[in-house]
Amino acid sequence: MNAELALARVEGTRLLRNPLVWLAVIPSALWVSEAKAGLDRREAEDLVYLLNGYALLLPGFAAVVVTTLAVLRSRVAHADDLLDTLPVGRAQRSVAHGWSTAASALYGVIIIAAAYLFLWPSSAPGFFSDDSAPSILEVSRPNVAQMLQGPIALAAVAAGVVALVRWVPTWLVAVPLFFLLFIQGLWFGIFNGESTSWFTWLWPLSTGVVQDGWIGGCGEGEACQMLLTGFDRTTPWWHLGYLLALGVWFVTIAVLRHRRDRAVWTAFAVSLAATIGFVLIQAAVYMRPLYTQ
Amino acid sequence: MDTFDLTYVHVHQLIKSYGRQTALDGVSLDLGPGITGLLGRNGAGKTTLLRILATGLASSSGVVRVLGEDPHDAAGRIAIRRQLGYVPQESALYESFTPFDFVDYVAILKEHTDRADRHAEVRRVLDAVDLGDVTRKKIRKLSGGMKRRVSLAQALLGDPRLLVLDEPTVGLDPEQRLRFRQLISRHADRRCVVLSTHMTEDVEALCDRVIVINEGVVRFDGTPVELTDTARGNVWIADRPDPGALVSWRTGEGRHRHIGSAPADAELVAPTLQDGYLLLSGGLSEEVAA
Repeated sequence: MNAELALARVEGTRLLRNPLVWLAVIPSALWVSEAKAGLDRREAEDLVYLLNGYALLLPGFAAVVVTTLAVLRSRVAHADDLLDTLPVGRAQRSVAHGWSTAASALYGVIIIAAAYLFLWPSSAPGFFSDDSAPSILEVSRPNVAQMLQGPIALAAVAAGVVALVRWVPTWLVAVPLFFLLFIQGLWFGIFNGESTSWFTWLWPLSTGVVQDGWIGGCGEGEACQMLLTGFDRTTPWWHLGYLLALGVWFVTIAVLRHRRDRAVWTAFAVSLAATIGFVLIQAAVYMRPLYTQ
Repeated sequence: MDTFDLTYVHVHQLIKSYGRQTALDGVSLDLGPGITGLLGRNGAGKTTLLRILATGLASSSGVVRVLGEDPHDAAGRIAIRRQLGYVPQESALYESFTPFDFVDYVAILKEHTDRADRHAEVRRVLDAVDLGDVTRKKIRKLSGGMKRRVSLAQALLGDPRLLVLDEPTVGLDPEQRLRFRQLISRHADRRCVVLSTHMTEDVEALCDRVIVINEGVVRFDGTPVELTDTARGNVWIADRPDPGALVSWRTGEGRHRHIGSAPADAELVAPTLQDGYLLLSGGLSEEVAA
């Protein structure tokens, strides 16, 4: 094991041992519990939102705060005088922090898996109906890509934090963090029933709701085309690729703060190209017309 | 470094400036195995010199070779760091860590990547500084002396060939200082230790060589005995204070010790290292004298 991975293991273990991140699970547990208790009087899509990653909103924020403090640690403790005299330098420490975001993803997987097991071991969470879709539709449970969205988004945001802390002054670090939580939370609070668009797929978490956005139902004939509503189960696969590429790109930005050689620039360019590529692919996949028999 | 080349540190005409302020002004020295003490007032340039030797700071001009490597060169810097132990002036520890976790963290940054070997090494250095029984206590709950020993423990990781210690005995009680001296003197066998201190007793007890720096310039370079000898014939004991003395203070016996020219009715006494240092540095610094 090289130094970066050994360090990542230490940082990851410290994250998972931190009581703050497990205390932050309590509001999510209550949220999930309440959603299950109220299943007979509310729409089942709330449960899908939770499993799509929204259950991680507060725990994820706690994990991101812990990651922020871990990256800031040497600066706050004035330890750079010492650390700058050690063979493993700041750039390698940034890489290690990047690898340690895997612990954030693992933390997210544990929460989502627990919520999944608690919510419904059956094949469907419940049913969906509203004015636009008067007939009762069965809501199928999210697939693996949908449920991995939260954990991988958490890792990507944590990687973004590594880059942020490496480049901005300490006093400025908190502002973007709270802004991100606010916007992502606002998005959920106000627009959770709104249809997604190619733009909302650029955010870490996307509900995947498609309101009348698909065409199909009875073949390709124009006469029987219907507007369809539901949860997008294909775009999330590409969204995972986007989040992973974005996370790697963030880490290269962090590394560039202290090391600017050809290898780092190449990693930066490749991950940026991959990120853009996944953005285009997920947009194209999302906007495809869906025909079903 | 050649096996037969015992020059661990070579510095020639070293200059370090911070803007218009010159911290080191043409320092030249060669260090071999053994313990070298740096004496000087606050702001004399000791910490700057040690940070340059520890590769944490680049010089403005001059030649610096540490363990045969050039710290200006990236590869040379890494090579030096692999054989270096450094205790900075400020402890700069991670307060939320335990001593074990912190030293383990530093061990990873020193490329001790095998977990079992690394943990054994961490336990070894913590035992060496008598912290074996508090390895699981948070650093924030340790006394100042214990924190200093945590800082020393990380420097001892990997048994480095060059040990750079910036005021390592600050905060240690007399017993701990004695243990520190034993530890460092054991380590210094065929290794190079450079330490800065304000405590002339430490230099007297530990160092083969002493360098006095004042205003960025080396004022003295020799053995502790030679530094002591510089005051021979200039240290007096009298019953009354002498306003004309370079330095004068009341001793525990109620008499007055003078450094400088002979006051009336005074008797000449044998100098100490502190007397030599005070005479060389021109007396007490202004803030102490005030």
